[in-house]
Amino acid sequence: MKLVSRYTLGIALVASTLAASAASAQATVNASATVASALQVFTRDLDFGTVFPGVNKAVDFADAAAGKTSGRFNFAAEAGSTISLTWGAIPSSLTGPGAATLPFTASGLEGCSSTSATAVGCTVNYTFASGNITMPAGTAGTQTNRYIFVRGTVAPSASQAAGAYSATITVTAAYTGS
Amino acid sequence: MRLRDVITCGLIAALLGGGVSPVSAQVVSSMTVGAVVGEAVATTTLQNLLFGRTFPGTPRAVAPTDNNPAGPQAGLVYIKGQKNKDVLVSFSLPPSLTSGSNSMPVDTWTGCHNPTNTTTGCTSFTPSFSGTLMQLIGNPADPPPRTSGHRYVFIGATARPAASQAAGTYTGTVTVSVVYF
Repeated sequence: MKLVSRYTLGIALVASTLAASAASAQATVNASATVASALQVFTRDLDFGTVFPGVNKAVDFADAAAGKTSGRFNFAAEAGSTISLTWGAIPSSLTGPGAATLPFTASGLEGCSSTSATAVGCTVNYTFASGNITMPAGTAGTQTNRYIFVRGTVAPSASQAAGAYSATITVTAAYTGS
Repeated sequence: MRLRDVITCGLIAALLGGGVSPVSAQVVSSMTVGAVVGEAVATTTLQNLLFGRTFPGTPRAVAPTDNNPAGPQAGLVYIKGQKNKDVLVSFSLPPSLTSGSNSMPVDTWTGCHNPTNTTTGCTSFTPSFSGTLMQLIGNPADPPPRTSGHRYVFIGATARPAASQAAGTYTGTVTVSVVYF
């Protein structure tokens, strides 16, 4: 650009800030984004309570009493959004004193995906396979809830060592962007 | 008086005689001073830049070619002026969008411009305050006298909500300045 042109340009830009002129024009473009609600996960532990050697004990999806409580993952996220779930290894037994194990029955841990917080009427419909779930519809900018309940039956042997047994179920949740 | 002196005097007399000839009649001359005022440059915002729904922790990019009315949708400015004239198109770009006291970074501005209202075959550029030169091109479909030129400018960017970004609607303003070059 020649020097003369620079001066011309400078004058024109100043003019455009003062008033509209034939040699210049200005437009505004509004930019907007709607940020969705935060993604949250709340858990309730799967609790078999006290079990006895040689006696199986089952916990069902709807169980919520102390000492016999189903596990529950509560996903709270933007209404209608899609979130990905990545599951860690699903345990086949609990580990206790001296590395003793307390196995589940052959059916292992089972899941039920539901929009109900109480799991009433829940049946096995979820396999803990990593993938996407869709959040229930609702008002944009608000959270809706989806629950995955976990149930199972432990099968202590007649010689099961006494003590506390535990295992961990891990899930990673993330928005997919849609 | 010698012959040479006679000739000299004769020449001088002849020269003096030419200088005192009568002034000729008044001569009138004229010239045309002309100017043609070209078409004023004008801008129209055809589309706002819509990111649509974005999720905490997940960047949301809008490409100049995006055209979803629910988002993502590129911003679009139409420039009209004198055919074949160059214009300098400069931008004032917000570093963030705001929602009340909350802000969300926005960056990676991208653009594409075309003589027609389509991104097919458009020319990519990076929107900047220093500006980009573009030429206003006539359209054969224009009604006579076909003196107008056109340019469509598509604008995209990337919004970057933090993982803890508060929910809400975030807004900002892009100012597009156009001047004949």
